[in-house]
Amino acid sequence: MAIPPVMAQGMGEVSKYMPKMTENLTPIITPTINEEKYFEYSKKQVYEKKKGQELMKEIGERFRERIKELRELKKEQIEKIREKIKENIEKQRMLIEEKRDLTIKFENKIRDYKKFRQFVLKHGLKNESFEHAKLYIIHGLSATIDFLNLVKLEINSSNIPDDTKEKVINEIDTIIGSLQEMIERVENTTSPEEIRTVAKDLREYWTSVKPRVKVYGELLVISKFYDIVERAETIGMNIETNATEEVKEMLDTYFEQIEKVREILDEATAKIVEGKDAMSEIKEAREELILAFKTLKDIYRAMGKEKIEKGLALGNRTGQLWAEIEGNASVSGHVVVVLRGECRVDINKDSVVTVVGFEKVRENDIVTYSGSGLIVAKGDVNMTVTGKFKIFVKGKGIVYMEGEGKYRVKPLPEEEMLCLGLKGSETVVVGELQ
Amino acid sequence: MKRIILFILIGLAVITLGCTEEKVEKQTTPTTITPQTTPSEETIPVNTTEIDNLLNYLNEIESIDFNI
Repeated sequence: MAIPPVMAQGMGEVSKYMPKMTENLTPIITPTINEEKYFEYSKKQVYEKKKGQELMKEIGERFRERIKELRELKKEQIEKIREKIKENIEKQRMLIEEKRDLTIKFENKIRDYKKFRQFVLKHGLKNESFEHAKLYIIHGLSATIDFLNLVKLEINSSNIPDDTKEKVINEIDTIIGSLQEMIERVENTTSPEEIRTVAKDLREYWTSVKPRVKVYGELLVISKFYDIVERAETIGMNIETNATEEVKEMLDTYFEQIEKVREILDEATAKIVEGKDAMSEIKEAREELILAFKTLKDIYRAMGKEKIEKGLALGNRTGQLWAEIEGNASVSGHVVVVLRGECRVDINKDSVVTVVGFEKVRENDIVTYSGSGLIVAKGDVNMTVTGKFKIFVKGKGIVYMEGEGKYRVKPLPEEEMLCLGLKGSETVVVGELQ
Repeated sequence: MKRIILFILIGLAVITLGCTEEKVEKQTTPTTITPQTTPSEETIPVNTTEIDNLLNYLNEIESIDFNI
């Protein structure tokens, strides 16, 4: 893949902690272009006079070619894409259930740990208290193991590079192994003296690994944060499809707040990579997120929940897609598209377009914009985008994506929102096509 | 003397009644209470609950001790 994988460099990047990374969908549309060259088109300097005409011609041809590919997808191909998405949704559902089971186990063990600990603190180590002391330590250890398994599950399903993933998982496995050994030692104790000896060793070990366990826990929290931030962004972009002027201003504030949360999370992640505690950043991110949610509540109040949820009339069987991409994307269908980022955008002239910030660089049957800002396109939209951007598509259509990033898709209203990593190319169908 | 005392008593009675009436008047003045309507809190489809739960779990893990 020739697209510079900026988002994939270093653990401090958002893309590494996306909540879900399952098997990529099989690309049905084969990439046919020189990626590196195409990516260069997004740079403003290519519009210089000398190369301008030639490149514009090529871009126009490229646009028509890609849109033609999307529009001519056969029914069987669309079905194949749908089936793949369904399989991935099922895999994700199973993973969510696994996490839920582990969480319940953890909560139960913490509850028992507290119960037995209280008993031992009250009665000391006499008679039956000895057995309670064993249970107190065993439940404490088991709860820690469950927590670490939860962290492992999260790391395994994230997009952390394989070598880093392996390193962290190995370290967690070593800690889990030692904690399990401690459980066996506690189980084998037969007197208060013996259990005191084991508890002493355990305290020393726990003091030595606790900072690392905390950091892994923070990684889990940050991963959840990114997930929530993406969900919040999807909601914002959905509102943008139908926003009034008053709400548009509020949305700008909302997106700024969301972006600030992301920045703090990136800082937190960078600290964790260095093995440092990032709790202060996590707390700061939480405060910022609460501010963003306050703005979102104001937006709901101003616009009305019903109007937001009903959204723009695009028919009944519509789907949704949100993506964060460094690369390119093409959209074709009866949709509304919200695009934010720094990129080059080609749109068919007959779609209804609102542009903020972008510069119009060409206009014939295709309108080309370049720069950074916001674009909302509605109607029968045919669009290609190249650069670093976030895109929200709602309605009935086909979306093709190439590059690095991640996406969330809800193919039909009754289906769950699926979150996947993007590495290479993918074709996704949103809504029920005729 | 009796007349004077009677006059004083009547006078006091009138003053007392006057005060009482005034009090009654004050008591009967209706107090207007404006109903305080709290605007219903808008529910948004996203919140920090999941993050807060994980932070609580992390606190629980941190506070685990093995002191016997």
